Order: sequence, then C-alpha cells, then structure tokens
Amino acid sequence: MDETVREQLNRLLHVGRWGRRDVELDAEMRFHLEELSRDLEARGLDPASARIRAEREFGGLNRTKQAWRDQRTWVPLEELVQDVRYAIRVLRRSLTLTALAGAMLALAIAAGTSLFTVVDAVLLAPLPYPRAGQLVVVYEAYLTLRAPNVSVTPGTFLEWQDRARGFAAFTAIDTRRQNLTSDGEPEQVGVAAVSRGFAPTVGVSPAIGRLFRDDEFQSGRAAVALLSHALWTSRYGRADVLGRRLILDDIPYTIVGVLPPGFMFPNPAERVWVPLPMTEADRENRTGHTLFAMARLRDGVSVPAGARELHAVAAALQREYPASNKEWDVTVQPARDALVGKTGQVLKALTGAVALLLVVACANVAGLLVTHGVARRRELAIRAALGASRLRVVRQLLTESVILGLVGTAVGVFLAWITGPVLTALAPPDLLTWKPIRLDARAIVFAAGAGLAAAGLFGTLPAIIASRAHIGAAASDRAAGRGSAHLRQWLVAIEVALAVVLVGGAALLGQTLARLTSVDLGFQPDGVVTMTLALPPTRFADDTRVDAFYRALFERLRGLPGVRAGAVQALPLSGNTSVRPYQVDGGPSGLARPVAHYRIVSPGYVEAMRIPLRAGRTFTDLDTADRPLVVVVNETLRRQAWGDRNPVGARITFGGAPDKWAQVVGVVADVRHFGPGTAAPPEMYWPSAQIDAIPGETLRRMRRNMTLVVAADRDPVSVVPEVCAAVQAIDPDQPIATVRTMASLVGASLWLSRAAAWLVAIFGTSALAFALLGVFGAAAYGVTARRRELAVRMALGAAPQKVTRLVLGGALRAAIGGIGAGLLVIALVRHSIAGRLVEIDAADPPVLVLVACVVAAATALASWVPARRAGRIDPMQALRVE
Amino acid sequence: MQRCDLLTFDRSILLNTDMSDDRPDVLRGTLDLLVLKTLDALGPLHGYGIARRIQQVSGAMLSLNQGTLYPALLRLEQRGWVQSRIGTSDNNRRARYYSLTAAGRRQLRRETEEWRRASALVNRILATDG
Repeated sequence: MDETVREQLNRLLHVGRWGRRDVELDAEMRFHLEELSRDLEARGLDPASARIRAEREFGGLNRTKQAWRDQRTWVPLEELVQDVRYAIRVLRRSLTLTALAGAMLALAIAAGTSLFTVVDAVLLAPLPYPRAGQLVVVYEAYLTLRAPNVSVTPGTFLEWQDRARGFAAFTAIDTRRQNLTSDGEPEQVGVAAVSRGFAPTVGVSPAIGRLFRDDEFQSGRAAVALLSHALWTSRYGRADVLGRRLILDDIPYTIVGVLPPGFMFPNPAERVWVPLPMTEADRENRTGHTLFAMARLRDGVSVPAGARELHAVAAALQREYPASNKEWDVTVQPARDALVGKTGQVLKALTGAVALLLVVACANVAGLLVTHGVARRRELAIRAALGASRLRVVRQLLTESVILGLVGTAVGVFLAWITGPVLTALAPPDLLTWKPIRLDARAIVFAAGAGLAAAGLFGTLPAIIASRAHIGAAASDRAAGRGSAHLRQWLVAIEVALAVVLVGGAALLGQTLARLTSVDLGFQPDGVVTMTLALPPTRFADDTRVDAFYRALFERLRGLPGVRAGAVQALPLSGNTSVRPYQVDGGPSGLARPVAHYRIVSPGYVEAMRIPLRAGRTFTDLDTADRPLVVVVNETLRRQAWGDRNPVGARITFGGAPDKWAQVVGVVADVRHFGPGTAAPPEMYWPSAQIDAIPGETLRRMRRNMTLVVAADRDPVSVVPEVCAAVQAIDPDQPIATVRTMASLVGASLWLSRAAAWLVAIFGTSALAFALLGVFGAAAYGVTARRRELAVRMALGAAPQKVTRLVLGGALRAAIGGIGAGLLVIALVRHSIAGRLVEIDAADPPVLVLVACVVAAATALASWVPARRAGRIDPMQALRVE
Repeated sequence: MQRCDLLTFDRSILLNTDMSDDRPDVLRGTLDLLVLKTLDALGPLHGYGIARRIQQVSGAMLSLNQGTLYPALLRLEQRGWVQSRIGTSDNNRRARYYSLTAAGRRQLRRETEEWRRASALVNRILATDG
C-alpha cells in the first residue's frame, strides 16, 4: 500500500476516537520536558530557569498538542463528528420534539417512498426496448366522433410508412387470441402478427435464435413464429425449440427464436409473434380499422416533430382519398404514455399530493424548531461567547436537522417496508410495470434524498434565526419570542393552506367516486362471468359452422339450471369497441352517414347482462341468416336518429353496408361501455347469425372471437367448469380463456378513481392532522411568548374571556388565511388537474364549503385549548416571575 | 479554533517560522530523514532521546522546536515506517519508544539516496557558478 494512502486511512480511522494514545501524549510530552530540564540542570542551570529553557526549546505544549491532533485525524471531519454527537445529545434531551418531528417526517417519507416504488416501476423503469424514448404509438383519430385512439387501416398505415421521413421504422400489429395445440394441453394465447418493420422498431436482440427475415413477410411463405421468454419457460421448460413446430389454430409454424425475458409487445397478453404480410390489396384497404401501429423515430427527431410530419401526411391523405380518409387525423403518443395511460397521470398527481404532505410536515417541524431554538438561546449565546462563529452555530443546528431528517427517513423506510405488501396487494393485477414494485436500493436512495431535502427545508430558517444576534440574547429574549411567534403563525397558515388543498382534493375525488359507484351502468354485473373463445379459422372457415357451434353451445348452457348465456364481440368495460356508419330513412346518406358503435350479439346476451328492454323485443334463435335482417338500438342512438319517435318498425342500414336495410325491432337501455365515468355511446346491436349477410374478414373474425357471457343465480365462477365441459363436449380442442367476472371488470374500471381518492384522503388526513398540531403548537407558544403582555392587559382590567378571544382571534387569523389560500389554489388548479385525472365533477362548491367549515372548526378547537389557558393567567403571578 | 501553520505538508516549507531566535531552520523533509537515521543508528528511542541525539550530532548548528518531533513521529508511524510501544526509560520511568520498521529502513535508504543526489546536484551548480 502506498504510504500516503496508509497515512490518510489511519487518520480516517481515527475520526471521532479519543483513544489511549491521545491521553498518553500528555504524559509523553511531560516526560520529554522533565528529562530535558533534568539534563539542563545537570549542565548547571537552576531548576526554575531549566524549566523555562526546556519549555522554550520544546516550543509550546498546546501548539504541539494541536499539531499532533491535526496529524492524528482530519479536523473538519472530526468537527462534524463532534457536531453529530452533540446533536444526538440535544435530540435525546428534547425527546418530545424529536419524537413528534420524527414521526411526522416518517409518515410523510413512508408515503412518499411507497408511492415512489410504484412510480419507479411504472414511470421510471426502462421499457423493454433500447432507446425507448424514440418509440411512439400512432393511432388514427376520427374527428367526427372526437375519438383520438382508433385502430389503423392497412392502407393508411402503408402511406405513413412510405411518406414519413422522420421515422426509422414502422410496424403494424394485429393482435388476436389463438389456440395453441402443439406440445401440450390446448391453450389460448395472445398472438401478435407484426409487419416488416418489427425488428428495427423494437430494436431488441432475441435471447435465442433470430427475429424474422425480410422474405418471411411475403404472403404464402412457410410460417415462422417467435416465442416470449415466459411461454418458452412455462410450456417448453426452456428446451431447445428452434425449428420445432408450433400449431396455432391448426396452422403449423416453425419456431425461429425466443425473445428476451421481460420483453412485451405491444401488451403483456401477447406471447407469440408471427409475421404480418402486407399486400397490394392491403394498400387499397383504407376503411378496415384493425391494426395497432408503433414506430421508431430517427435519431435526433423529437416526438412533436414526428407528430407534425404525420399530421401533414394525414392532411394529404384527406385530400387524396376523401371517400375514406376525410375526417381522419393521427394521434402520436410516446410509447410509455400510450402503454401506461391514465395510470401515469394519476401517479403524477399523487406524487404532487405526497410532496404537499411532505411540505406540511416540514413546515410543522420548522415551527417546532423555531420555538426550540428560542428556548435554546442561552445555550447558543454561551457557545458564541466561547468563540463559536455564527457559521459554526448554524452548522451545528443544521446537523441536528439533518439527523432528525435521517431518523425520520429511517423510520419512514421501515414503515414503507412494512406496508409494502399491502400496497402491492392493492395494485390491480393488470397494472403495467417494468420491474416489480418493491422497496429496493433506488427507493431507499430516494427516501434518503427526500429526508435530506426535507432537513434542508425545515432546518435552514430556524438555524439562521436561532443563530442571529446570539450575543446578548438574554436581553432580547422577549422580542425574539414575539418575532418567532409571528413566524410560526406564517408557517401555520402555509400548513393549513396545503392541508386544505389536499383535503379539498380528496373530497372532490371522493364525491366523484361516490357518483361513479352509484352510476347505473345499464347492466347488472352481479352473477355474471365472462370468458373468451377463439374459434380457429381453419376449422371454422364458413359461417354456418360458426353458427352451428354457438347454437350447440347455447343449447347446452341453457340446459344448466339457473343459467343464462350469450355472447358479444366487444364486452362493456373491456376497452374494445367497433364503429360503423348507418343510415335511417330520411337521414343523410353516402359520406355524410353518421356512425354508431355496434355490438354483434347472440340471442340471450341482453338477458344475460340484464340490460333493460325499453321497447320492442330482443333477438331470438329465429333471427337467422335467412330471415329478414333485424337491429336493436340503444336509447342514445334512438335519440340521435329518431328523436322522440318510437323507432320500432323503422328501417336502418345493417352491418355498415350502404344498401342492406334492416328493421329496428327493439330499444334497450344505454350501457356505459367505456366505464362509469363516460356517457354511453350510440349503439346498434346486430344478431350474430345475420352477420353472415355482410361480407368482409373483419366481421368474420369477430364472429369467431366472441366473449361468452354467462349469468348464474349462484357464484358465477362455479359455473366455469360446466361451461368448459360444454365447450369440450362440442369440440375437445377448444380452450376458453380470460375468465373474469363482470363484477371484477367493474371494480377494475373504478380502481384508478378509488385508489386516487383513498390515497389523497390518507395524505389529506395526515396533512390536516399535522396542520392542527401546528395550530395548537403555535397558539400555545404564542401564549407563552405573550404571557407578560396578557398579564398586563388583565391587570389593567381585561376580562379573561376577552383575553381568550384575543388569542383565539390571532390563531384563527392565520388559519382562516390558510383556508382561503387553499381554496384559491383548488379553484386555480382544479380544471387543469381534473381533466387529466379521473373525472371530477366540474362545480362542487358545497363540498368545498363543507371542507372549509370542517377545517375552520378543527383549527378553532385546536387553538381553543391554549387560548383558554391564556384567560386563566394569574396576572400577579405572571408579572412577578419577570 | 486555530490551525497550526507549521504542519502544512509541503516538504519545502520551512519549519520554525515563528521562533524568535536565529538558529538555522530545519527543512521539513530533513526532519523525517534525521529521525529515521537516528532510529536506524541507535535502535528504539523515546521522543526526547531522538531530539537529544539530533541535537548532539548537529551540535549547535541545528536546532529544532522539539515539540514538532511528535506530529512528525505520528506521521511516520501512520505511514508505517516507525512503530512505537511503551517501555521503561533508563531512570525507570514509563516512556513511549519508537523503532524503525522494515518499511522504514527501506524508506531511509531511498531518502538517503535522494538526499545525496540532490546535494550533489546543488554542489555542482554552486561549483560552476563560483
């Protein structure tokens, strides 16, 4: 080891250790001096002058000792250790202060750290693609319906790919559920067919094998497939699978690669990828919105720049192809925003809420420290008199704050660690994360950072105030007390304001949640279980076979006691929908036709979901392909197309075709298809058996991929095995998947609102509790600081009630100011946050007034106790003390 | 709190700056060398012994603030060139005895060599100048 390194290490190891060696230095020097004077005496000096001479030759005992100490350790570090030791002693002596401040910080930091673990996993952890910041999701935006996120047509996609220069690659994705029947039990898997640009877009290298070659995207080539790491592990036990056959919907594929662990594209459900060939026929298809599109921007091209370019392309397409592209624009979203969706915005808002909570805690601790600093003026004055510089005193006080902050952090991290499992249990299973939600090193670093930032926030001001004018402090004690009482009032006002913001926000969210929970969804979720079926096109190529399968299935299901069953292509709350134009007698035709959402349903669906029938009838087994076409509409569509008239018996076009006319046979209630917070769209219901009258692969595919809806008068999950058995009895190779109860879908649709409301309520309650503590503390301190003045007032004849009222008024002024400021902040930010957060009712003065009253009453109560004490001051006694 | 300027670690800084007498100053690096040499020549010694020996050898030519010996000894010890233990002095008193380590001996050889080279160089320059 290098000697200088060794020397420094030695010094470092000695920091803060006053060892035997240090004590022995005295003896060593004394020995030296005595020996020296003895020798000098031996040379004939008298003892006294020998002693003096020896000391001169030695050169100053204290200076030597100091130099020795300096060599022994690093002095600045040594001083820091002294500060820390002293700070710990001070904090231990004022245990109440330490416990109170530490507990508040710990709560705020625990909340912040827990939230950080979620934010980190959802918003900060890297996406499973290299340079993911270049990845965007591109939707078509349908201006007529103000629908920004519509699937893309193959024709429009190919135009983007050809024309947009700012993009390195585009890939179109067609996701589907298919039956995997090779190597094990039949299993439904999510399959993504991806177009040529897949590899350059995702930019990943496979764990095993290779990605697709360019020639494999030509149609008619031998089919190849890629597996997800998870599927490879679960189904193949990580065996050598390259070149093995994989059978999806009876079509064989050759496995050519396995993607790396954690890779997901575009959703977690997809576990197999196959090439999506795009042909010249696709180029002409600008009406079938079936694809999901992702793209990678070129290096140096920003997301807004890419978006501008695609908007320009969309504008050109509107001019060139008005028949199909009029009213169609694009939406470009960064990949993470598109994948995370609203969760991200809610998490950002919650982060803001936690930050407010932390600030309230800091303001409170700062208030406590200011008071504490006043009580310590004498001590600080002594330190100053002994030569401590003002900077040194500030440093000492800041050290105390930092230690307080670190104690709060440690306890906070511990709390977050204890409550961590609760948090993960509360998170919905389909929450998209890119790493597990847990308290890892990053979270701890975050907590420490928050703790130190908090220490800086609450420590600086009190330290500066306490260190000011410390000489002669005793003389100015009273003035200082008044000044810091004033400061505390300000801190209290800030605390109350922030608490009002949080509590008000929680009240708004809670009210919204209550409204969403009580909203009529238009169907009855209780007792309903849903599952997906994916009939392979190979065996179910023609419509009669599909029809026969469903007929046989429903016949069996209806045979089960207490069971109603049906099927639909786009389940409410699933997030999926489909839209086509329609025309009614006397309504606009051609390009001007309005659009509505359509639901392809089997007979029995409306009954299974218990959607109320408003007029006419629903579908029956008699509405077959060879009978007159029939349609059921919802009330919104009825209003949109017919106004107040009864549409039963009226004509409407069927299946999006311009010339196929059907008769409206019934009107059903509105279903909140997109969740309780969104109004029902106009909807037309088409009987599945009659869809066969309309050509087109899109509708064929929907027919084969329906969601079964089974309602039972018992626990719906207990019906699932019977449904399985019924399916297997008809076709033993046919799996069912995605079993979910309708109630869980409803719960999931409310999850975000519920989580936001509860968390903000918890933060708000804590902040209010902190603020009330602050109100109480400030009032109590104010009474102590003004004791003499109050005593004089009483001695001069002021009634005790009047003194009480005086103190109460002072305390309430700060609180009322805070409440006003808080309400103002809510009024200012509500609209900007509300739109992005969960749906908040626009104007809710009553609930905010209620919040203001509650907070005002609580602060009055908190300051009443000290104020009453002020009224009981015995003037004689108080004045005599001085 | 006062810092002592005497202990800046630059080897070229002169010691003894604020002493009022006019004895020659001790070069900082030289003190290390003298201590090492003394311990090499005489074996284990206490602080006073080292100081006395240096003064004896140098006669009245060289004097040092004897106190400065102690930080220097500590530094040599921290660098692993010197070790110390408690022993008994000639007149039966407890005292800390310093002795050279193997690394200290190597360092002494290195520094002696360096010193010779440096003084030879200086001598040559002075000779040509004269």
